[in-house]
Amino acid sequence: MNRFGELLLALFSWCCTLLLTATVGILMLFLLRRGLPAFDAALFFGDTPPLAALLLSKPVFDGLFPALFGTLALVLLAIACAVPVGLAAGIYLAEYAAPAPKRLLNLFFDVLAGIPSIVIGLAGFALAIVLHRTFSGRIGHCLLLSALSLAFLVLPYLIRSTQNALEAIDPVTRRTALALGASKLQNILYVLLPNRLADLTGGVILAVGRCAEDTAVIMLTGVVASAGIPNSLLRQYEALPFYIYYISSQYSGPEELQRGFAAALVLLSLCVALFLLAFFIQRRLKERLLYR
Amino acid sequence: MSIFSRIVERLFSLAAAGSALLTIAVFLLLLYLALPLFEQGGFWALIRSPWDPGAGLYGIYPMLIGSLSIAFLALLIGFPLSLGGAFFITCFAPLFLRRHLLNLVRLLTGVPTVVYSFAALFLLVPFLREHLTGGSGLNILGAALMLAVLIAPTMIIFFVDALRRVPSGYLQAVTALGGSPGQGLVYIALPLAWPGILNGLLLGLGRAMGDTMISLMIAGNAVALPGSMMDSARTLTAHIALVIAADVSSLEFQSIFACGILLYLFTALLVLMVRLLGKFPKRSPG
Amino acid sequence: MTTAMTETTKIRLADFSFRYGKNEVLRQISGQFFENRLTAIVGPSGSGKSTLLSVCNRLWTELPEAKVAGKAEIQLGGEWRDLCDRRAPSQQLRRKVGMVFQTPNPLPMSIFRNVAFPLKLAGIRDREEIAQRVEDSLHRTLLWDEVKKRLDSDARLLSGGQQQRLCIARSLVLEPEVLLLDEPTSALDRTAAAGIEELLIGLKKDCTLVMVSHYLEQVERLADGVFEMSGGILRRLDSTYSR
Repeated sequence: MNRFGELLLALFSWCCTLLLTATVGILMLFLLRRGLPAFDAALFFGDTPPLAALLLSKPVFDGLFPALFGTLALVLLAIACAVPVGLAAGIYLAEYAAPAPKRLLNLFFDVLAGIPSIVIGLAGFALAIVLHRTFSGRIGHCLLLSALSLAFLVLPYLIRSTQNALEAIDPVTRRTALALGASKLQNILYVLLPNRLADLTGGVILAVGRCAEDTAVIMLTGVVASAGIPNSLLRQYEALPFYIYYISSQYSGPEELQRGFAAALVLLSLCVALFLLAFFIQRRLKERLLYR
Repeated sequence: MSIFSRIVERLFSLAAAGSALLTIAVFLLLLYLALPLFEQGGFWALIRSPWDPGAGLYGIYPMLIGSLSIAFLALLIGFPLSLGGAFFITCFAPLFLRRHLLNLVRLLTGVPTVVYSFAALFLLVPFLREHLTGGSGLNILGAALMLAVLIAPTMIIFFVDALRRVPSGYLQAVTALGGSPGQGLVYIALPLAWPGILNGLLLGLGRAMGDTMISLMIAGNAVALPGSMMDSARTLTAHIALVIAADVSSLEFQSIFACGILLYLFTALLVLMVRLLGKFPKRSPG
Repeated sequence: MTTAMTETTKIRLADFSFRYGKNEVLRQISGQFFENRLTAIVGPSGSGKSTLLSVCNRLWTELPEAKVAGKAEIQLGGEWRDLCDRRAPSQQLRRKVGMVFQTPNPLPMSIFRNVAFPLKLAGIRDREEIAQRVEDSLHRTLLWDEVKKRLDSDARLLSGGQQQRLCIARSLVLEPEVLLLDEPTSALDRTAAAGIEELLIGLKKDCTLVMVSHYLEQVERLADGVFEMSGGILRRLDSTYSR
């Protein structure tokens, strides 16, 4: 490769990077310009007094509050379901599984991680149909079904992050407690997991972000444009990403469209904040005493 | 071993086995609900025929073509961009920038798809409509452009990872022999890192095929077979999202399970390809 | 100086072989380590010295690809235990056979908790007993005066020599009958190494010590018996059997 080729390659790299960052930058600036003016209490609570809305004593009709509440409930439920299973499966893969079953399980989790979220949503939807046929009850689209489907969606990420975190532990740390007479389980609980707490927490937070942003799964399993605050797990609900999608196709005027931009900004900041939190934890928490 | 340890260990293995079984269960569930199609021998016909409810045709061939063309066009745009970005981060960027850039790329993987599509719908689409493609502005090109932006960060991370895994001693040897960084990249790093790069490419393809929101909001969702990239098209994923409201027992409704099965199989195929790639013997740089 | 005390065998190996995957790490070795003696094992790196130590506390059973043949036994509390059975329980045995690694490996917790950790693993909950045993242990490793005022600070803030003495204290808190030492001073400077050597001599009266070492001078100073490991073969070097 001559000097000219070298120059061309460098130029190409510069251009690609600039083009990508510029595209994303322009899109984000556009969102900010159109969405920021709409930020006030009315954006979240409409005409309802904020305190009354937060205490759930009065319903909010045209504000983002029900959607935010729905997203929060959804994420908490999904993570609560997914984390124990994901951690347990990850620990099994890293610490217990024999080579042959491990290869097979890895294959399954790779496939699972690759399944498009709409197909996971479709499976949740299908489950509701089958349950409906079998029990002919009113088991339909609801918050619980969405949360379970989302939990399934993020399960492979949690399994992988747990497995990778544990497998990255150096052999000396791994043997320290064993040489002192720890059982395998004691070693995992007292040394290995605390040693990787920062990575594990980071993985969970990224899974939270994934749950909060997904639209395809909830679209098929119970989210609706207007439901207020759900009073049971078996009710339909609102959620932020779906609200954004809904506004994009159904907005009635510039004011509503502006609320859509503001909602997109809220979701974006939420995901960026979660990412930064995970980043910060992985960086800083490592230095702290985490053993008890 | 105490009984407690035994129970906990059993729980761990149950969690792993259960999660793996759920992966199969999803497929079986889709298959079960698509069963009426198979019984009529309609599954393959469905994949090959057009969508024309007026004529009683509920084929998903246009959606299959829509999905493939959008995904491959996105890859065509996104791959060189990502490769350039990865070269920049590993080789050409000023040193102080490299780490920050990589963190920025990681951050970009977390940007919600629906936010990208929303911004593009009100910025890129009007631009395309007025300056490039005419019509509604909702077309394959717009969706592919946005998908390229969406999958680029994922691919860049994989590419950078693959390039960095090349032993630094090799690159130092090139420098010591008077070679330039670009020469080290082209003659040493790339030949060694190509399995990792192909791996990232396949995963990018998987993400592009599996994305719903961008194609749903930007590609226009026309059910006709697209003739060019200026045409509107509907993808398999968008089709599922759009038809979900139809009557549960209709043939129209059953077609979405065919879409689901196709997407599932495509994913599994990609994963298997990545797996086989991992078994490749490492080629020495030549 | 040879004492009148008769020598009791603590660990004995007969035609013992160790394979890791396809590698034969130890080849039909035989030998005995005696009670209240410091036995040194010297030899080039990669010759299987550390592997031999990991046989003595059954840490080898944590390696799925490891396979053993022949005979290896340890005598604890007057009773002979088989070291070759992969499925036999190891925890009780490891509490009586301590191990100190080449690089000091304090866990990221306070000084006190590091030393108390093995007691927690063994299920001892009595706080006074724990405090007493931790203090005793730190006395035995000549560390008490240095750390008694900051037992709650992070163990990783100690100097290298202090960290290694802390790790020895952590093993001693369980009152082991055998202490395995894998090049315990090679990561330390001369002064710190001298401190460790001094405390090892003191430990001989109630412990059997088996030490892997690179330094022949150190072996001369400390060891009662010396073996050389080379290419997976164990050979007794009687010429340096001085004390």
